[in-house]
Amino acid sequence: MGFILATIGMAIGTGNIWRFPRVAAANGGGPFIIAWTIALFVWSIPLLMGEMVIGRKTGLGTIGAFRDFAGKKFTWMGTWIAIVCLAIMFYYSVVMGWCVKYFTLAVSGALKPGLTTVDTEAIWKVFTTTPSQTIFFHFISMLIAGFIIYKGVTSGIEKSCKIMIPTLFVLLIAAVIRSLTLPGALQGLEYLFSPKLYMLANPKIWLEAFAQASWSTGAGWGFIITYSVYTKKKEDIPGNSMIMGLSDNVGALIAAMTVLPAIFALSPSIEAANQALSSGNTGITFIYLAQLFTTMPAGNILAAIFFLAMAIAALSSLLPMIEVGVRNLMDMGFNRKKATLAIVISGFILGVPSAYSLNFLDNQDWVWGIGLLVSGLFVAFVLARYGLEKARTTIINTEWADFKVNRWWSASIKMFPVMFAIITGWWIWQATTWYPDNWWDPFEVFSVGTIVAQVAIVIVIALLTNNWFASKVGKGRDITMESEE
Amino acid sequence: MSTSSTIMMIFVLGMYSFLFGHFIRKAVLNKKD
Repeated sequence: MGFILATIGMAIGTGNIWRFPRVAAANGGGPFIIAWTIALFVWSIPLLMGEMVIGRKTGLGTIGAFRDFAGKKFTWMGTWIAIVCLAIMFYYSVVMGWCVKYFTLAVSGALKPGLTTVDTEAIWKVFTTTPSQTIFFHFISMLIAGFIIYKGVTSGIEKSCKIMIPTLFVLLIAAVIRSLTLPGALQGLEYLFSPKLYMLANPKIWLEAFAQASWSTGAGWGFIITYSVYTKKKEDIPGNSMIMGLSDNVGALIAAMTVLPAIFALSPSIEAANQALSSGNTGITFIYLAQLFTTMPAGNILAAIFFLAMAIAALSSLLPMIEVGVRNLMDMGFNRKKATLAIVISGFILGVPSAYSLNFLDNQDWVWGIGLLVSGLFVAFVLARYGLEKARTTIINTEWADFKVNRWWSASIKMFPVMFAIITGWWIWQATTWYPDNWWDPFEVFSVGTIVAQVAIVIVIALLTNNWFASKVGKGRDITMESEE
Repeated sequence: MSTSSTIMMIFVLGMYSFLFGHFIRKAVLNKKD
């Protein structure tokens, strides 16, 4: 159960709580949920299964896994996945720090009744422009996550997730009950579940749904390649992948059933509710919800529950990010303690720019969000190179599989490059409309130029170090062929 | 809430509860075996 809970923790992150409700509401609710559910089965779950195949066949972190699974000349793809994952880790720890900070604000009574959105916006601005505060909470986040990773997979990650994941679900359910019992809450549910099936003809809904599915489940991040190293021979790949993917969506639905009813019940008007929904991830969470909680009886309690849930969701997703780096270093001969120290200290230092500047954090989130799609493409590529039917029939469909995966898995992975091209192309095209005159500028926060420049730098580094990493990583093991003991 | 939204909500929550519950139950039973 420890492995399953760790993977559920990996899948449920802040994106479920602060992004899904907002994006679902902006895309019609019901039709978005339908498209997002389809994306789960044709994008996320097949990719999660594919990552388990690679991890279990090689018994190595991402760098060694790509070397042994696809061949020495493809080692750089594993290096790319590791770098992208670590680049996200640098700022994700800062985000977790925000959640911890707001939890302390709720508990200390700083989010007191009578605050307006002007006040909560001021609190947010003061906090995010005070580097000593953001860096301190980033440090606390790294310290907590580093301590858990330092303790190891069984005593650290699995043990902590055995406590964190049930707690997270209890907190989310407590929050959803409180939210749904507010007068006027049903309006939020109406917004979320309104069928409006005609909207499925709108391609934007599908693109947003696939983007949400690809970023939220953790598929293509290298997490599952890494966690699979610690699995035993008897592992149910289809069943476990289903749990990972479904838990992500269940977590997102519960979060949406908390956030949207709260916004509609507590906002003074529909216009105010819509304004909150269009205020972005941080705006909706740290400005609007933080204020709305203060308008209800015992709002501090719901605020504390909500921000603690966010902090736990962030921590359980930060753990695999660190483990991706730690596992790769361990494959190169480091022991766990030294590897953890190296990743956590460098993670803290390289996260400081994001703690210092929101623009820098936004830029990194934009660039490596696209980077993750490329990581997924690399996973699909090496699976196709290995042989999809071979992987499906010999590694996925074992006697321990809860159900046998049919050709939809192979077809989904085969279709991946097409889906990747459409989604990435759409985001890139959108970015050109945000900066019509200087979309190529690498120093603009959300430009195409910044993606091209940073992606190119990392690819060049990964290519130049290909042979070096290929020789440094030790020998792996084929978990699928091990004895059963 | 409108009838169509209520039906949609019941369908979505029912489907996810069923699937998630099914696979979690299987995983727990497998570990017991």
